[in-house]
Amino acid sequence: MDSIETVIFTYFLSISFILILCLSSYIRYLNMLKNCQEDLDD
Amino acid sequence: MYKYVAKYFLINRVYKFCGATAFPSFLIGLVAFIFSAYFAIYILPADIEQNEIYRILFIHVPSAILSELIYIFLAVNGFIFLVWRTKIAAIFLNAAISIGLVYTAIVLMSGSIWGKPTWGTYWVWDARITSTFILLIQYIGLVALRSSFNSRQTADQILSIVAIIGAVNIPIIKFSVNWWNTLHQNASITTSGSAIDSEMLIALPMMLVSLLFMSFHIFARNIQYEILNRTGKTAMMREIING
Repeated sequence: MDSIETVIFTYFLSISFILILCLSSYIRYLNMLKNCQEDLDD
Repeated sequence: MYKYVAKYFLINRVYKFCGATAFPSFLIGLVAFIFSAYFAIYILPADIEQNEIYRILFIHVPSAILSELIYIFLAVNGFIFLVWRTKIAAIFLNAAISIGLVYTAIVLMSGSIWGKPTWGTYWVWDARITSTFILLIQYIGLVALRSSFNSRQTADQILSIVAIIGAVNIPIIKFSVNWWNTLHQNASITTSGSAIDSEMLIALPMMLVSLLFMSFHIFARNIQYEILNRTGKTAMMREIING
């Protein structure tokens, strides 16, 4: 439990949380941008 | 003073700034994170008492700092929105909530993993951990509140009020280890010096900066989303999208 693998697992889990949020924020923004552009084209 | 500051926070200026800086910020943050994590895990020496597991400190502490700073940021923006009715403050408030939520989750998760070998348990209801858990609940509450109102103006007002009231928890988290007997240790870095060896200490600001850059990417994309969401089919949106 106090091994280096546990530390690496913790770092991996932490960066995964952050990267998932990065990706979801970006996708959410892109979808909104696409909707807005479609609205403007109409 | 207010007019001087406000001219830099015009909606279309902020949108363009976020668009220009989001991706470079993410790249810098990711590279800095990989470098900091490698430094913290493989370069720094093991601790004499906690051996390898102390290395969790370099993700746990920066996440804790950010989770609290982001909440203060929410409260300040909530106050600005309530007092001056500045739309951009409400946008900043909405854009930062999810980031604070993730950092608080990371603090509790990394603290639990660290607690098992050092304290013999994943979780204990001591003052520091409980107050941080309450912070997580506050963030979840803000996320839930954000989408609970039909009127955006009402949602922004309620969010601002809740963010300001909730800020009372931040000094409680900070001083909980001094006010109560806790299993959680006291602050290692104080104004009178650091209990962490200077060789080990350098990884902390490195990790903090890398997380700040990555957080800015999320913040910038959330701001852009909020701006588009709020402008509707207006001339301003045409101006924003077409540059």
